[in-house]
Amino acid sequence: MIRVAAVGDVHAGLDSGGCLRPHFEHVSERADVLLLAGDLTRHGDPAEAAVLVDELRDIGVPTIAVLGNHDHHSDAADRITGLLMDSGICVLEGDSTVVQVNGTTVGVAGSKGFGGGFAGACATDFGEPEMKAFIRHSRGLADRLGSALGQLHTDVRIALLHYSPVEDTLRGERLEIYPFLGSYLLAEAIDRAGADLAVHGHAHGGVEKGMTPGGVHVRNVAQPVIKHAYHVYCLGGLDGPACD
Amino acid sequence: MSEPAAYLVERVREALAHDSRVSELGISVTVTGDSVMLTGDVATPERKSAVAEVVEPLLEGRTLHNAVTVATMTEVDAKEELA
Repeated sequence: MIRVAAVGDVHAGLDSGGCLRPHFEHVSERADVLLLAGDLTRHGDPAEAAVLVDELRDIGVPTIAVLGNHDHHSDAADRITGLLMDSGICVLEGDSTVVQVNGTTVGVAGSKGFGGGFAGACATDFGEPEMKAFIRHSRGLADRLGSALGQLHTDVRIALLHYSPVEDTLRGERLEIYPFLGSYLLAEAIDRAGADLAVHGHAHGGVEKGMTPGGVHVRNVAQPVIKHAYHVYCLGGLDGPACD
Repeated sequence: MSEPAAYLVERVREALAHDSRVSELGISVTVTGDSVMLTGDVATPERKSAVAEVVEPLLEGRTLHNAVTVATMTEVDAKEELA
């Protein structure tokens, strides 16, 4: 079994030094890989990302991240990505990475994703340029996620997102804001390409568990939802130790 | 005449999003009569205090009920096996 630790929305700030590390320094005893589902920082300040890098330094498992909307707020997403990559944290956006765990290959395709809503009540690429740009951004990210997932030929495949691909994990959030919390286009891309698990954050008022229309497990790992430093999901690999 | 509740709700939400002391999008604001209640989660007690600092100057005499909770981050106690 492959043990996947995942959390989103850690929102590291300049005041987070020393707060996160105690919860992550032993993650290698419990998991084989750590996924960070966006909103790594509070304001998208590279100095906040530097705090997170220090908190996660040498934790002993491959760490893979996507950015979230907060990480874009200061228009410094490229600098944040660079900081994280330089520290060894793999940051995905429309691409993928593969890690080996006990002879099993784990492929992770990632994207921030974006909003637009869900089937039957989804915003449409029609009208004002701003509206078209909104939906085209969402569609473009979903298409690239699907392409990245489809190119993975690993034993286990995971989609890592910030925005939600399904409504299931938004239960508890106000219906009016669903179009700002995710897009069915992400689920459609995941179902077409196939995956064993999709994780996302962003929906602090939602619930943990859901499923795409095609039957892929979805887990909302926003920290206020899971109320732990991370949750661990065990996925079938070829051989290896049981999930204990 | 004080500001209609609906407009006040959005002014408070905008302040919570844009004031760098808070930068929270997930805090709910409910105005009932002369009371304003805030609910949601923040990461630290200091951030909860900052929420009140940002909101109180906007309330025009209304009473603030800061029911925002400080999110716990406990050790992992369970794993989920996915077939």
